[in-house]
Amino acid sequence: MSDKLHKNPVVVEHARAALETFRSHSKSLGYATILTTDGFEVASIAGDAQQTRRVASMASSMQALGDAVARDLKMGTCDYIIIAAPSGYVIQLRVPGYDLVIAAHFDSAETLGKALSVARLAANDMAQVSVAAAAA
Amino acid sequence: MAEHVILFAGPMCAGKTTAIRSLSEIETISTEAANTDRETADKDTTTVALDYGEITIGDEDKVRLYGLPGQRRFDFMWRILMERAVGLVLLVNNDAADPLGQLAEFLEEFAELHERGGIVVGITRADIAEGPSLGDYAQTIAKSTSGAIIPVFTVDARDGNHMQTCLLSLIANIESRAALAYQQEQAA
Amino acid sequence: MLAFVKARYTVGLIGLDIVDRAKVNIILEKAFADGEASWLALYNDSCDLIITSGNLPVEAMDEQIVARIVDADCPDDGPFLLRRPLSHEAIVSLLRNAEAQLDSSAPAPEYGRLKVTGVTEVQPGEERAVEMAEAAPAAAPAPQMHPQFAALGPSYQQQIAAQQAPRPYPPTQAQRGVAASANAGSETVGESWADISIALYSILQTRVPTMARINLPHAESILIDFPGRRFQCAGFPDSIPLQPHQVVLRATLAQPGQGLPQGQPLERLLWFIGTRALGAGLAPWLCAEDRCRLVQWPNFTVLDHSIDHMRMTAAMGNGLLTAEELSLLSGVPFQKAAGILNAFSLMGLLHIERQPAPAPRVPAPVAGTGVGTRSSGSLFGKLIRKMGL
Repeated sequence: MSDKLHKNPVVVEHARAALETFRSHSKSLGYATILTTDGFEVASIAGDAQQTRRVASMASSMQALGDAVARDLKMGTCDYIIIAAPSGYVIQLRVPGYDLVIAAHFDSAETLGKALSVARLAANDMAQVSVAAAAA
Repeated sequence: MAEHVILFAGPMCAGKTTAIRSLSEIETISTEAANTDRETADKDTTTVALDYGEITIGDEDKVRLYGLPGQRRFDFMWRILMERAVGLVLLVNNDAADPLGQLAEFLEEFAELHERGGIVVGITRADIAEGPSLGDYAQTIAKSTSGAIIPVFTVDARDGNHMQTCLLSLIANIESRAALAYQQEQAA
Repeated sequence: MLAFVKARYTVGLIGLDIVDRAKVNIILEKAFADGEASWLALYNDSCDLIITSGNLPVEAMDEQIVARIVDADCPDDGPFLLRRPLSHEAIVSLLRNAEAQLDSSAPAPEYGRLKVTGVTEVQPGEERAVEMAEAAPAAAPAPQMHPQFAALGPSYQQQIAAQQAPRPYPPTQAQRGVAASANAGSETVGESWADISIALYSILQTRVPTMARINLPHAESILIDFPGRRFQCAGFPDSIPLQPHQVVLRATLAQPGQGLPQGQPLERLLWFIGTRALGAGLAPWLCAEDRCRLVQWPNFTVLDHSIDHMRMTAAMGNGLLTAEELSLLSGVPFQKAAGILNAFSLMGLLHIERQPAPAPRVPAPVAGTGVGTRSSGSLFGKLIRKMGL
């Protein structure tokens, strides 16, 4: 079930709630986006609309490139991607069971382990959405 | 080793991924994701980063074939890959709603590449759907590029010979322009 | 042979005796060369102006002008009467009168730069003979370096400027006058493809909606649907002789619903005739000094083409070249360069300029960047070797 997840109001509402919870778990979260694997923004916190749309597209490409590298090296699918820079991290990972990805930017105050941990929680939280119920 | 980057661009469903598969001598690398935008294109998956294939020529040259995502939201990939590119194979699906408009849009987007390299246009699905004629496409090209003579062919992206024709025409045109530019410099 | 470029109107010479026709031809040529008139001469009645013999009945449409050549003592008078002996002044005056009348009337359909005002109504199957040209085709240049090339001057700048000159669009077609025509409702019999190519060229230039059949002895007929831009021929191209001893082209006005429902792209036939069937030289309507530039690439994916064709095409898309220059630039024999120009002109893909050009100079292939030879270090050369082409 992947059609128009970004336009499904139940999915969008659930994504917003998951991101709010995500923010409450990490003070150093800059902004975060939940996106479809083909690059449509579902919901975002912080960041302006143009930026979050753009991040959604880039995160989609990154995820696919990660998958391509993992596939080429016969490692399976790419679970998450970390981009580390002097002033922070970007972590993105798949939402289990859905064609969705969560991408989050943390400032450098956060440890990488903590950032990854809360991002996983958010992804699992998002995975609780019942698309079937929403469709009904 | 010299690299020659050739891009494959065009709207969704134009056949870019297939075209690269037809030409590449390595197993192509694809970055496809489930397509959630069935209104725009009714297909299961769509390229979201790039496709990659290559042709190696001896020990000296490698032709790198990059397919770009068709959707504008991925235009950052267009910019990234355009920097290294010398040429563009622009594919347009003849049974799209507005193929001439799409052609003009992509020509404008890749005008810089036309200026410093070259472009060839391939019209896919021309044998299946009644659409604009090649003359119509040529006119659109001329309007979009101040009268430039860009090769335009009907192609089947699955046909290796067709795609070879596109690639060779592109290279021939680029090198011919370069030769003329060189002559102009010499004459100046 | 008449050789007109940039013609605004067409004049048809119908039913004239050989003396009158020769005189008119000569005067028209001179008038054109002197810039006094810009008329394309044809040998059919689908023209803006028909010049005919005084006693010949001619059916003309309202938009057409009929001029008659009469004896000196003929009592008739009018702006469109020519008295023997024919004079340069009288014919130029006639053309001026005709231009004035045509300019004042409603605009006729325009195809490219050639104005077509109508065609003879011909019932399907009703065909009639058309006069054949008395003029011989232009002699093909010898396939060797032009003497001018031996002394290349510093005028290359001028040629570059000519090559960079703005190109008109939609593309103008080569509008050289032809010595014979077989527009709708006609039959042309020739002994070679070259003989009927002129008729084909004429049909393609005027774009009168025409259906045609080409009959070849001991070979399949070729049916051509010009408006639909397709043709039918079983076993094409293998079934078609390159040097037939007779070729007959019958053309009729296309009737509604008469088009071929299916067939091959017409460009495939024109390409075949141009590159393979016309012989070693330039087509009769092309001159050796014509400078040609491509206005649109041919659809190579449907044409039986070679790598040389592709290289020549690339050169022609970027430069204004004569056949000889094209031959030298591309490193191919003259006849191959002539063949591709023949094909492109038939296919309507050429912009042709006839000008007092600066001494031509062929850009030499540039190592590493040029497409001059197969063995060059260019990527093109490497790719075709890699692909085994």
